[in-house]
Amino acid sequence: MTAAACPFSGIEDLLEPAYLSDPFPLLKTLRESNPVVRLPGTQTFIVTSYDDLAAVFKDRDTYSSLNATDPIFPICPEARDILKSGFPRKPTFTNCDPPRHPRMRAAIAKCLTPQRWEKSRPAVREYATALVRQLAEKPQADLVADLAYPLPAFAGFALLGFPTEDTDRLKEWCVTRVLLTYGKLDDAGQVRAARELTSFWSYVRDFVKHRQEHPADDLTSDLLALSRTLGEDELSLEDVINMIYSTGLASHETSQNAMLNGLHRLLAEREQWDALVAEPSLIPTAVEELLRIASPVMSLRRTTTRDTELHGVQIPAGSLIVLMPAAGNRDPAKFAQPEQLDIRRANAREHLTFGRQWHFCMGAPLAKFEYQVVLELLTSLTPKMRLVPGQELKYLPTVQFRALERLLVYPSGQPA
Amino acid sequence: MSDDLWECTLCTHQYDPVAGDPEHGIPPGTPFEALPDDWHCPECGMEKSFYKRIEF
Repeated sequence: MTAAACPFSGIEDLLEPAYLSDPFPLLKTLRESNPVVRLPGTQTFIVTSYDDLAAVFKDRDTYSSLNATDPIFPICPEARDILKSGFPRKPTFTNCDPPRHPRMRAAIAKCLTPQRWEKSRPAVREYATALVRQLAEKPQADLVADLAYPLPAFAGFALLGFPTEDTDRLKEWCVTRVLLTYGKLDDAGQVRAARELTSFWSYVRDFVKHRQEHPADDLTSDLLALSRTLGEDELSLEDVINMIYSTGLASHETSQNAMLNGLHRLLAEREQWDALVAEPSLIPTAVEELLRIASPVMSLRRTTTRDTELHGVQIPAGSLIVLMPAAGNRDPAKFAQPEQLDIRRANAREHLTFGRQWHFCMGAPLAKFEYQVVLELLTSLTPKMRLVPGQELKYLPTVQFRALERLLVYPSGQPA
Repeated sequence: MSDDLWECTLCTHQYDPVAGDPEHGIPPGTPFEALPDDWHCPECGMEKSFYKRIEF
């Protein structure tokens, strides 16, 4: 079988305002007509069906992750030189293959234990409670600025040990990193972003080195202790710096976007919101369902290491594979009536938002805990909350994440 | 040895000894405790130590 026509003319189409605003009709068309499709004139293939996505996630020998965090659009020479000189990055988790990847993953798995998550929960709940109480007092609130921006940052940075007073600076670096990697900046923007990222890198390197001398009760110190136990060959200081740099973004950015996309969808479907208010025991399932239907992850990337075939489509070695988990999450072959939000959906947890198999998100327990706490607090303290009608929704222009920049609500259900 | 359900603490996959994990060579009726040491979660790849027994 040969690949049929593709509605995209290039990756740039994934940054079009209409697609950013509502990508799902186009993804549905694509999944129904061409679940594996080649972008015209390129060696890029887009995958949208659940089973094909799961197959790619599972086969790390054929589908390499080494390109997963490379800038998706070409970087200008000046920005590239800045990154080369001040940004000695090595693959860690999302952008890593065997034999290094299992070593990195095993190391962080030794530190991100159920006990570590358990220990982090009281502070996260306390901070979330304070945020929601403040928000509940406002006539109008922005769920980005008042909740979803600060909460995952607090939880993620506390896990790593980053000082609270550095939160805003770290968050700004992370947005820059997302835009340089998954967005399309002009040359001047790329140069500015490259300089910012070298500052972010230096911050992380200095922080990890500081923790060598001043260990604390955090993930960074645990990894450094593990490095001492395992030895430099197994887990070097450089490895730990790279891991903390990676986790510096992964520990909060996706959680923020997941929470916002989910709250937007839930508040827009009043019956489902009211059902959750009436029956809070549904919250864990509701979180899985919201992660399914309102995924923060629109695309992920792989490269084929050899000629292969997927859904009957021949794919040559060296092809770029663009995975669309958000499309797979709405595949009717897997989820009945997939466009409907159903907070009681029995198989909701089988979504692909955290990936699958070798690259399954290691922070999933923290992300889900934050999400559950937020729903518990909002449904109990602001049960009448409503979206501000007619607001214009803006999404960060990136290929990979669906990231709302503002989400206005009336916490009491109506304007003051 | 028991027929208890076990849950992966990373991805929440549940191992049901009645079903086993035939796709990975584990026949139905295999208790969690009898799984080989190199068995891993079929959904997220984590090792056995990440599972906890589900208490009802």
